[in-house]
Amino acid sequence: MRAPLQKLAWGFLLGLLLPSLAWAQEQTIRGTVTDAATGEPLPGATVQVENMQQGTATRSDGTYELSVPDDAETLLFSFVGYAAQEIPIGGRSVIDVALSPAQQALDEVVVVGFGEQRQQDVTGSISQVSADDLDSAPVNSFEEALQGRLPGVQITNSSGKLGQGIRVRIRGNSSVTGDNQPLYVIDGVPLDNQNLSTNDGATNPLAQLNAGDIESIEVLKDASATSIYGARGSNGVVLISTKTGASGGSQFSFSMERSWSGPTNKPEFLDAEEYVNYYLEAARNSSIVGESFVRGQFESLSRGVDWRPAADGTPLIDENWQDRAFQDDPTSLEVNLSARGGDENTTFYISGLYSQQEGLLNNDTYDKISGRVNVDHSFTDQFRVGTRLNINRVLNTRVSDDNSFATPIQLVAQAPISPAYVPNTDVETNQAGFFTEYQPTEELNNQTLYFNNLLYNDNVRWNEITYRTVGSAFLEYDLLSSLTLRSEFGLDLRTQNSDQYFNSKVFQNIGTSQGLGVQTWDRIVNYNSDTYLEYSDTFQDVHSLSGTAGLQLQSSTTNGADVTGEVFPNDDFTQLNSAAEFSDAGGFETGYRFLAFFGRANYQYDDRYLLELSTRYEGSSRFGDDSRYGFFPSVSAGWVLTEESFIPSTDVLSYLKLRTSYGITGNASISNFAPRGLFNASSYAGRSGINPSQTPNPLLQWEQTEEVNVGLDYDLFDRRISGSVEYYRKTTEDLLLDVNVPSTTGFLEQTRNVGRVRNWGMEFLVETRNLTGDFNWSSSFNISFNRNEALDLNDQVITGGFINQAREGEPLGVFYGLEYAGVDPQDGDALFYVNEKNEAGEVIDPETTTDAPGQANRVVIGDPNPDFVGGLGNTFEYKGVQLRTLFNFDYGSEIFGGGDEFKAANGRFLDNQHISQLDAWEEPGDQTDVPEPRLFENNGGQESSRYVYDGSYLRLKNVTLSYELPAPLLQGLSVSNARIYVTGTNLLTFTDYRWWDPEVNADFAAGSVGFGNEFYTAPQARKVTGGIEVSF
Amino acid sequence: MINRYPTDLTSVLRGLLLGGLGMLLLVGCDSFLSVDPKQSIDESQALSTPQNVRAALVGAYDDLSSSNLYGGQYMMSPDLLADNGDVQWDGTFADPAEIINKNMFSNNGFVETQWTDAYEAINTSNNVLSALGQLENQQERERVKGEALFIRGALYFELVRLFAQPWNAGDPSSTPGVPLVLEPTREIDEEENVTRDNVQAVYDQVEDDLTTARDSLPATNEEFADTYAASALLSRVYLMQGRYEEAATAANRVIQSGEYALAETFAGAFNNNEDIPEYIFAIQVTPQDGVNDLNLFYAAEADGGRGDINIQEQHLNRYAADDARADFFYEDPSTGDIRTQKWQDDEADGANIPIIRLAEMYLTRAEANLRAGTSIGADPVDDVNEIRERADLPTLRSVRVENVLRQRRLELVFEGNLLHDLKRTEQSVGALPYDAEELVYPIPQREIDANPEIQQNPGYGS
Repeated sequence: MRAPLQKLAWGFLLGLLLPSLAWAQEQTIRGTVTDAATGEPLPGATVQVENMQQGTATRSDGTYELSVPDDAETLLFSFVGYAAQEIPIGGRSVIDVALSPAQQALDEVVVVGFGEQRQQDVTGSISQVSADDLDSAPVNSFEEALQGRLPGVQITNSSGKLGQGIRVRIRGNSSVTGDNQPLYVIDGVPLDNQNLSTNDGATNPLAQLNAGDIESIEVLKDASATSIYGARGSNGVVLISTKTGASGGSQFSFSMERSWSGPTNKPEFLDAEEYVNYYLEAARNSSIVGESFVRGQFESLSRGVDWRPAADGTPLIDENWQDRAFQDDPTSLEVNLSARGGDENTTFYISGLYSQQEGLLNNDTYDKISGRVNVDHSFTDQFRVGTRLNINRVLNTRVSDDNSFATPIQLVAQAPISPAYVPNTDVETNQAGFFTEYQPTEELNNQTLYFNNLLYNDNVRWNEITYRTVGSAFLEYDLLSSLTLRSEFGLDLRTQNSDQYFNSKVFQNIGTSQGLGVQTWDRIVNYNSDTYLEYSDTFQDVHSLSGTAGLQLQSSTTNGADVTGEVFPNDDFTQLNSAAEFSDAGGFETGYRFLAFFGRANYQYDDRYLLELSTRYEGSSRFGDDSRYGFFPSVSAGWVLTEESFIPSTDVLSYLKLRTSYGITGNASISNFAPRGLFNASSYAGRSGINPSQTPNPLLQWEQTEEVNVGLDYDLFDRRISGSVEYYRKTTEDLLLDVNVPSTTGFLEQTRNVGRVRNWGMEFLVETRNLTGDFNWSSSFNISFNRNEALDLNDQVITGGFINQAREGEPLGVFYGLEYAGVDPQDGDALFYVNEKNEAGEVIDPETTTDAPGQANRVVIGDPNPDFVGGLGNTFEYKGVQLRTLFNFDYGSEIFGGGDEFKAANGRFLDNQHISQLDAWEEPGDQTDVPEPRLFENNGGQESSRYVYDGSYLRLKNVTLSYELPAPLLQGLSVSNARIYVTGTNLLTFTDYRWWDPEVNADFAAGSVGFGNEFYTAPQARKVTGGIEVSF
Repeated sequence: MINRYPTDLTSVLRGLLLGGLGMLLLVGCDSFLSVDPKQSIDESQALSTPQNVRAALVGAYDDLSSSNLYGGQYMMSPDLLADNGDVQWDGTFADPAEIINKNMFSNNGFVETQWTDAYEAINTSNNVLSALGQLENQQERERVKGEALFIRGALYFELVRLFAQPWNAGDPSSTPGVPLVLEPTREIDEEENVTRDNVQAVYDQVEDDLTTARDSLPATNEEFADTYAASALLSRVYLMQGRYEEAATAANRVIQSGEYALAETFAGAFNNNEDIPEYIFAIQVTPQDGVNDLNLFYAAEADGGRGDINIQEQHLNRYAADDARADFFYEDPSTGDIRTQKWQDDEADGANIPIIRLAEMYLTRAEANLRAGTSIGADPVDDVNEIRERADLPTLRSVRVENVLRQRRLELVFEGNLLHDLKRTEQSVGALPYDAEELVYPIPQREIDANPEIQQNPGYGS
């Protein structure tokens, strides 16, 4: 009965539709758009009916199909990087078009400070990454996707924890005390990225952003590119541009991906039997305790379960504590929706993101919700307005910093004979009084060697919730055809709540027995207002003149409050309302402001000679009354040699540009009130007091970096090979140095402008198109060498990390400690080089050794700075299949094992040891590097070169295999593009490094001088991601 | 493009834009850039009112209560350095391990902060002393002066005892002591590269500060230092210098003031959140404020500590069978180690930290009288019996110095006296003689690095 009825209904509907189809006087035009040079199809090219709304984009195979009104005359074909073509329809129903690259790809536009430039006009040093490169890497924060891609940019994750600080260095470290992170500017808004973490591990506020919204990232590296950012330019500037709409139709995209991850590496520790034997030996060798002592310890650690090595194998408990630090199969999910489109007056891009990431470590998650609206509108030909607005929320469940017993990786210190769960005592005991069986109960064991942080899993809440709004609104008015006024207002608002609750079961780690709750609220209000004029004109066809001039002001205010409550009725009460005692509370406010006038002028003669001047005159509330304003000029020039008649552009050498720049930039990253003499409030016995807190320096100002850059851009063999070579030398003077002062003054340090640091180096970029045609293969290789030296630190030694130092004549951050000389084969003592020094501090005897570390002198024993870093990317394409790989590498960085004095420490404590410690000295004549274990003595556990490791590595950072579904399959689904892909992240790592991961920077010890340290630091995630993208 | 808006609108907008730009240019740049701190005040106003001077004095006490000073380390660290097997360090902090092993490095962090925090407190005290003129009431002015001098004197006394050879080792007028800084720091230049004054000079300054404090302070002063606190500290100074009669006199002045009384029981003398009559001077701790490093390191995890110091049999064997003080230990519920109950209450419990107790005054008076052959205030045997009786021990008929020293060791254990008692009585620590280089702290490396004029103690590298 039903079938005929349905047929009838369909027929009726068709009948309704048919006439309307017949009435519309339309025709359908099909065709293919290809690259005129290579003949390859061009997906995503725009096909539009001139002067009308209709339009479409080509599919992945370059084909299109478009209904056009009968009265349409001309089709407009366009694609980024290609010259647009107008083709008269002339009654045809098939129109194939071959688009030519627009005057080489160099015509691409790059974003620069307060404007844009054609790439070929650029005279400074700017690296660019497009959305395409970012898309293929599933990352927590977008900077990770830059790793290995850009010459001169070194990116190091602090650990595998989600949302953690990322160290980004553009051309090395130039500041000792000030921040070395670049300035980030999103759509013209200079961000306030101060860290609001509620533990000693910094969080990364940039991870809040949706990487999918990013259209391009420009990294400004030299002074000519950054001097327009003046007092904040010397660490480089990262300009982020988000996607905007496009006129001519609209497109809706949906993507979804799912990831599975695990640690890149797990080092091996002693098992229970090895542990027992090792410490029995250590006790026998000890002058402090004997074997009976350690047997007693084992009994209590094993909670009475027989720990003795059985005749046939291992002790009854053999807990792999390391495995328990990691979550089981953490997965992540990300869903992204976006729409972009518009007409000739208004264009829009809107997007929404939801992502849910599970970290490697217990209790580590990161949930992100983000929405964006970007709208551009033209009121008239002269008057345009627009807005860029992003609102996001992140919920990060936090893990303790690396220096806490509660950080999951510290579980590796636990004795493997310690049970994770309390043993059932209802089992038989043997003659020696031990339980003969280990039957775990459900209760976690809280009598372990160190706090059993598995207790954090169900007994702690640590939610860091951050709301961030980054947005701007602008208007542009063409005063003349060559002169535009632009005014914009930007906002960067951040509100963070850290909600912590620790119940009574974790009393051992929080020091209070009836629960602890902490609420912390912080708010940052950061706004900027820019107004500037842009001028651009060409005279006599060959003289191009352009420029920008204006002013920018920025204000940032941070305030916050926190309350700590203790003594909750029971573990069911988890809010501060239920706390009986409020043991701590606080509130604060601080802020800073900048005000600057800036300008840039470009002159270009016949695409051949280029000249740019740019400058900024800037004041900041952070500087002393006597030196509030600074002047930051730069000049740069370029010469396109292939435009000269004597070096004609040929197939072999199609393009060659020489460019050079010189300029001065600043770094203003000091505390907000550093120049002042201050007293802080304090309290004692319920009374309030004041104390001197800072000694004044009214002359304090920005630190100043002078930079020379010479670069060469080239295209060879008909653009088969292109790239650039750059040399730079940056000298930073008037360092903002927290100089150690004699503490007999009552102060420890004073911020002063003293000292000089130099960075110099070379960067190479080579991009090749190895194969073209049906099978397409292109490569990109970059490598950067940076050398760093502290030329003058006013005879100061600045310390950081564990044993990092800034010392004159050495690279910033060198490791300074005892030089390990191995083991005395006679008695198993750890030996150290005495390194006796003369008055000038030079080592006069590098040979003599001692077994008394107190008599040895410290020397430079390592350098965390790499010799070179870089990456190699390859893309292979065949029809719709694409394979992309990216290797990144770091050569010559050294890593100090800050945790080695516990986990490779010769029985100094009872911590479980790395497997390598089984090579310890045993009897006279043994040749080994591992000293004899002696319980509670310290035979070789001092901070020495023994714990400095080569951190070089080569890593398959990213490999993506994707398949673009062919157009015929999609027909009838009204889907224009569909892509499925699978991505592997960090699948392979080649390294000799001993611990978890050579990409490491122990969070609590991280700073400008402190880096390259390991301390129970979580490894990076090795991840497999599968996903689908569909556009309608 | 169709122009959908009348041209007069665009000209209005043009006017607005240009006007806005003009406004921005006219904004006073300097006023925009002046941002003042919200939770600090400028040095220039800091000591400009009587209220601020009083607040600075509270600040000096706050400095003094630092965990690195009387908040714990001035007691714990020297006790570890003086230990010869009575306790075991079982913690992961490397610095106390270096101290108890008598193998300190010049970059020992615990040693460093015991130096730097002291000078911070001294600078705060010097600031108070520089601004006494703000106080119009003479009585108040005298009291504030006395308290600031008490703090300064106490700190120089601790510094010279820890960072220099003892008074009795060699000629104090040629032994390097610590730098004496007696004026507040206003700016820092080369002149601040001070050198070490000799031990004699430092002791002279300590005596001068404390006697002035004694004469300026009232008999009672709430929980802050009073005249008897100054006398009690002076008795320690005289004892270190072997000036026994003066030590006995100073101790006697405290005992006979009638302001103080021994707690009923030994246990009652500790873990009190208010100053009991036995406390002559104590650091105030409340759940909101104050720290207690003694609790942190001596107490079990269940009591808010780290359980890092295990009491050994060797120590427990020192007590006579009936000694009540032998019962003042407990077994750590999580590790099974023995811990002292003296520091069982943590910050959340608000237990104050006694710095000088009346019990010490009895023992000081007894020892000093015995050594001086005097009987100032009381017969030494009576003083010793006061202490013995409270510990449930039988009274003695006669005492010798050894008896007093034994009581001192048991009564004042874990309160920071052992190292100084061993040094002044020239007893060795294990194989190390009382004047061994290893028993003197190194001058912190950071100080050597920051001040080329300062001289390291012998036996320490760089």
